[in-house]
Amino acid sequence: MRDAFDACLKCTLCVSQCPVMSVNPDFPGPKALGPEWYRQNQAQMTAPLPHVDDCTFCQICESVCPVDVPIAHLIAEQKAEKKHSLRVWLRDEILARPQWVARMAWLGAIPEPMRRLGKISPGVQLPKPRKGQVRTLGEPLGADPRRIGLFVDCYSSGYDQELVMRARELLRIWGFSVTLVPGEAQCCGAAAYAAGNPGLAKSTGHAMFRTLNRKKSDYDVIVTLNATCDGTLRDEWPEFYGLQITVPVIPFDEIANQAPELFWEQLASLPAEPGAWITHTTCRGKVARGDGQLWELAKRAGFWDAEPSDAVCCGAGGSYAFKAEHESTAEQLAFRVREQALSSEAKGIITDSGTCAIHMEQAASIPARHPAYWLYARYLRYLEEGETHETKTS
Amino acid sequence: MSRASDVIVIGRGPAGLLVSSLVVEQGGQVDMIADGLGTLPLWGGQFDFRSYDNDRKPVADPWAWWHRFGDTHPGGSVSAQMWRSWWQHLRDLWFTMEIPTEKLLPTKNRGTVTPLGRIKPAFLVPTWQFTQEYAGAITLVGVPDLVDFPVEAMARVYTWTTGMTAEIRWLERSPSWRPGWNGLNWAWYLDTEEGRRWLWEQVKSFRRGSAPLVFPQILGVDHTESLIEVLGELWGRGVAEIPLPPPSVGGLRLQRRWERWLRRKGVRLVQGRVKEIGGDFAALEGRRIHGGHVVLATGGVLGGGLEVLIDGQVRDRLMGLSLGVVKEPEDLASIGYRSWLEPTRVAGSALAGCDPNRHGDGGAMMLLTSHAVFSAVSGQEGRLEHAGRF
Amino acid sequence: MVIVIGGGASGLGLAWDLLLRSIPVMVVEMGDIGSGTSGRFHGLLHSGGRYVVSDVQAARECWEENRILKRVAGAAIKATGGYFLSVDDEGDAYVQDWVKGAEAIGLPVKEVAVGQIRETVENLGPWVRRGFSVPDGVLEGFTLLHLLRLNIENLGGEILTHTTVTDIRHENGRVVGVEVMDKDGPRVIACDAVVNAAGPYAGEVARLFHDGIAMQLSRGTMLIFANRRVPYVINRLAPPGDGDIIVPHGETAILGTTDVLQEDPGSTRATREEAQYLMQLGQRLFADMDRWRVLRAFTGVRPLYQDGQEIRDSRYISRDFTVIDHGQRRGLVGAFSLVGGKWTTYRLMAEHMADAVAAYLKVKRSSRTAEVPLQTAVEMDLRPGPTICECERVSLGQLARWPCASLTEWRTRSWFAMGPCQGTMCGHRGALLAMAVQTPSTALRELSQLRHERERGWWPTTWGDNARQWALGQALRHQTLAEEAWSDE
Ligand SMILES: Cc1cc2nc3c(=O)[nH]c(=O)nc-3n(C[C@H](O)[C@H](O)[C@H](O)COP(=O)(O)OP(=O)(O)OC[C@H]3O[C@@H](n4cnc5c(N)ncnc54)[C@H](O)[C@@H]3O)c2cc1C
Ligand SMILES: Cc1cc2nc3c(=O)[nH]c(=O)nc-3n(C[C@H](O)[C@H](O)[C@H](O)COP(=O)(O)OP(=O)(O)OC[C@H]3O[C@@H](n4cnc5c(N)ncnc54)[C@H](O)[C@@H]3O)c2cc1C
Ligand code: SF4
Ligand code: SF4
Repeated sequence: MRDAFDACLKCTLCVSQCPVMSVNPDFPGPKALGPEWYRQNQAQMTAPLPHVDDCTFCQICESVCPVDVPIAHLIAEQKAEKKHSLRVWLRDEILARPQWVARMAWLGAIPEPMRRLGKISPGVQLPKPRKGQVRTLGEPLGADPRRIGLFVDCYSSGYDQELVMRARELLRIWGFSVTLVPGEAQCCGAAAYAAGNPGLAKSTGHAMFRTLNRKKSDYDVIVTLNATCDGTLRDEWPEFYGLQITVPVIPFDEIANQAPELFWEQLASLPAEPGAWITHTTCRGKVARGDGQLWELAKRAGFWDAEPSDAVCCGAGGSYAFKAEHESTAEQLAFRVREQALSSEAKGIITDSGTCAIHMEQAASIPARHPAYWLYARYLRYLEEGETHETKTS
Repeated sequence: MSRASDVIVIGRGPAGLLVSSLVVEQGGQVDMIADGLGTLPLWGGQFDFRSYDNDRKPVADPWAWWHRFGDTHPGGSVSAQMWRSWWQHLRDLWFTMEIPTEKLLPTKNRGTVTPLGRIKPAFLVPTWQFTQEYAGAITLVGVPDLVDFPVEAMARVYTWTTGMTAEIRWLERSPSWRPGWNGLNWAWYLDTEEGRRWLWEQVKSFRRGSAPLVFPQILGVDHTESLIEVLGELWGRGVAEIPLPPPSVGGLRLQRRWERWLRRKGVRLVQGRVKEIGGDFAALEGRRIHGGHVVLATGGVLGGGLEVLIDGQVRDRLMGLSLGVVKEPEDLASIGYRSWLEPTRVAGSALAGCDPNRHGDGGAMMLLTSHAVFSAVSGQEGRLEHAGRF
Repeated sequence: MVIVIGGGASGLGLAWDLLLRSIPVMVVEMGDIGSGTSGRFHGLLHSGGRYVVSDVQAARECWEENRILKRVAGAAIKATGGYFLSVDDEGDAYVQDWVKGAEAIGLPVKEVAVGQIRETVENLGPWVRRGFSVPDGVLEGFTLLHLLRLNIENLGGEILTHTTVTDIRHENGRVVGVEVMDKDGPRVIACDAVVNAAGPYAGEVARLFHDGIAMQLSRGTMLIFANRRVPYVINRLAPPGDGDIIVPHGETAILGTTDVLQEDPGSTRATREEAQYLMQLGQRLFADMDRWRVLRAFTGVRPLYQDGQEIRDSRYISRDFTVIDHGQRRGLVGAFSLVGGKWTTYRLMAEHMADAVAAYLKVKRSSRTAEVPLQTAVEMDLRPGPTICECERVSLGQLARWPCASLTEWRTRSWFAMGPCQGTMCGHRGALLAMAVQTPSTALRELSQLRHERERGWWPTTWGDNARQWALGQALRHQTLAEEAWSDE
């Protein structure tokens, strides 16, 4: 944090790419909220600007900044200065701890009066936790000596065990041995940082780090199922949390691309997945790794008519979309995905974050899931139909 | 990463985008790596050929101009025919990206107007930008509180320099307007249904005029052409825009369309800073990307490819090479690699010898270097005799 | 009436003192207010700590004035406090002398654990050993000058800017008027006495009094960093030397200074070598200073006075500044010079000078500047209208409060174009606004002058991100705006 906070060139590249700027006429934008407010506040205590909370912490601004100003993180410090009503404070304290929310997933949907009381966005629904039985995919297709710690983020741990099991099964048949980490609903700190509580983020992150360290001897690589956690662990921990993770952290889609050739050949023998699909690399995925890998993966897996999403950010922003005051911004951002889905008549969305997936699913009214979910489904189909196709082609 | 790419392009500025486009057009796989956005959204997106001569006098016919350089300029010995094919290609490429330009290549520079009211030469511009062959009367659209487009002063400078009249029509504050809005805020607003309707009503109520209606560059980001078309019908004459200082909507439109096109061509965009390169790899923090060739399109000092040290030494950040010492301000703009092939392939403003600030040749430099590098990586070295000579 | 030559700290301070004694005054300044040394200094309101060993008299005066100014000019002073830090390679002997010296003049210094200081300033070099707090402060030069100007004008004093004194009219060896030159040509203004408060130009003006004075001019270079990296003044606890003070100034921090003899009273452009030299020195305090975003380097010229054989009245003399009555020497009667000194002691200097002038005019009233606080302007609606300069948050309404005499005046009054982007994004906005009252050619010329003024201090510090800022600025000027294109001819 100490470096580059004063480097701003006033070039406004951040402003030109900030997704919130493009839909929210009140939002002062990354340059004013980040380096400019911070500089002023260094000289004299300065009240937080109105609408500072509207920042989704997507970090797109940081990724385009030519001089590496930690814009979003400076904004987070400003959010921390903001005083809230007790209700909002309470709500934010809870949402900054998604691991709590995840542990309470069994409670189901939030009743209407509680929503209003807690200023929870009326439009957003939490999904029913997906438990789904997962069938084994058979013998491993290869062997890879790397032992994988499959990182189960709090959302997946509470709401999408099905995805975790599918991913685990895929990794297993690709020849990896897999351990689930951290093993209980715990958060890397991303949610708290995004909500403007860097202090809580750090303590949450440190707790997670200790848990991961306890199991350190069980894995050589950490594979993530959520782009936000992916970037937090690998890029933000060293820079903003003072934590140095010693093993490589790799998103699932990158490991998938290293799956045995046989796996891809088998999938290739299936007819292409019919209809159009949209691959949406989440904002945090773009910031952490880039764009295009997901699309490539989809094509390789047989989603031939996949089309890369043109939306920068879907507006879910972790718990951002849950907050009533963000309803309109979150909706308008998701609208971009919806427009594209409608115009291409897409059947589904492939995306690298569970929370973004539910948000887009609600906006576009088509299923949105993690690539592991779709890959598993494809492979299962191969197992069920594969035989016949193989005989046909030969 | 699944497939090693054919070419790794480092940099996401105009040069990086162009080299990547050339490679994918030939069916190659590209990994574009960048730690920042590059400069496209910092300017209006007019691609200059050659705007000023060495005495800062405007150049009317840039086609003829290049022959005068010989060995003194990186593009000195490129034939007019070669230039023509490159510009034509860029125009066609833009066409497929839905970046609209005139059908025919310009035969000479036209004049555009800057927010200072100054006339400035322009070569290849998207059709939304205001240009004219001879200075004529114009009608400027004033936008309340848009400090980068103070129409009264602009009109005075315009009339003072050209002797032509510049009338003014004012927009009101729209119901959605907020204090502090810049051109980009307006543009996002005018992309919405509400914004477009509001603007139609405004233009309908304008007192008629006989000159083209010239807006600041605020007419939407993604739906500009259709908006301009309707406005043109309402006004009854040409409607066009003048690019503003950053955030520049024209460049932003180009960047969005260009990158959209590249995404659909399967270009992988890798986010991060390259720390080291070799003949067939680029290493980032914690990972290494492999590819057949590596192209540096890392920009000059602004783009971050070159770094100036406290003592004035200029160093290339990737190879650690010292490229010289800056003594006078002019040195900073034109310093860089001496050759586009040695010690590695270099496209864009990282190459020495061009100074777009002085000469107005940013677009030409981009074409020249990108095509030169492309010939090299695609094994067509012969196409460009001059490569590597200076 | 008294004519004061020079609209810097000394001149305006003197005018204010004379007016409070009901002596009519006119100030004549050849440039803008503060275009001399008073606008090009380090910004330190000395506590005296720097001089307790080397110059006790100056130290005493500083400490006294420090307290007075906080009282009467509070609006232009930030009582940040400061620290003297001793670094490994300095001997303990000096630290002891220093503490004793401070005690001797009653300066409240207190030793503070270095660990505690590190909590408020990060990245202090590991070799910093001891720290002492002192009541240093920040003196905002332009703010104080404009405050003085306001109060002078309120009392009916007149201030002419962009007007140069070119000669003195005298009868029988006695001053009766001055000849001035402004954009409308030369004219004569009658007066009873004239005071030379021309700072570094004092030697030249004294010649018009038929009396030479020997100035010893020394140039000092300073570096401005983009952010307020330190919350208070940081001094090195060592005999006064180069590059040993960092002063937080508004949203910036300034490192200085150097001390190099020079002949030319006009300040010259700082060089990259000087900037580099300062960085080396600064890194003794902050090891990571090479990663601080630098903005510019600037120089000021110290109008120091070389003791000669001239008649001196000990009443008026401090070790630090000198009051000269040229009538008592070989020069004109009714001509005075005020030279040397510091910003911190400008009030005291003015008081001594005014005593001499009052005596000459046979006015018996004594100085009241230590008691009468400077009135601040009635704050109007502060930021109406759109923002012109985003770095320093200067609005259209703010600029519109001052009729645009020049872009420079707007700049020094409002801080427009003084922030991290150095006017990259707002220079043209200012020029276009000025066009409401100026012709296009004048406004564009002023824009060009503003750019050159900015670039003068910017260029020597074009390294790292500041070099990228430069590159962006040039592209904008030449490619986006076509600022200096052919069309002006
Ligand atoms: C304000 C402005 C106005 C302009 N106006 C005009 C005009 O009117 N007409 C015209 O023709 N041209 C104009 N230009 C264009 C200009 O003249 C240059 O030609 C252009 O900016 C150069 O682009 P580039 O692609 O070479 O570099 P850049 O756009 O600077 O791109 C550099 C890229 O490299 C990346 N990078 C650098 N180092 C690394 C690394 N180690 N690892 C990963 N990535 C790295 C950066 O992140 C960035 O993406 C203008 C430019 C500016 C800034
Ligand atoms: C590098 C440096 C750092 C310093 N740091 C500090 C500090 O931190 N704290 C501190 O207390 N002091 C500091 N000082 C000292 C202090 O700035 C000066 O002593 C003080 O500003 C001098 O003010 P002045 O009014 O005498 O001179 P000036 O401010 O130079 O004023 C003289 C004015 O006279 C005008 N003029 C000259 N000739 C004519 C003419 N013929 N007609 C009309 N006008 C004319 C000039 O344009 C000028 O504006 C510093 C000085 C320097 C050089
Ligand atoms: S983090 Fe995202 S929403 Fe927040 S300012 Fe940056 S780009 Fe905008
Ligand atoms: S992108 Fe970076 S340098 Fe440019 S305005 Fe934003 S914070 Fe400043």
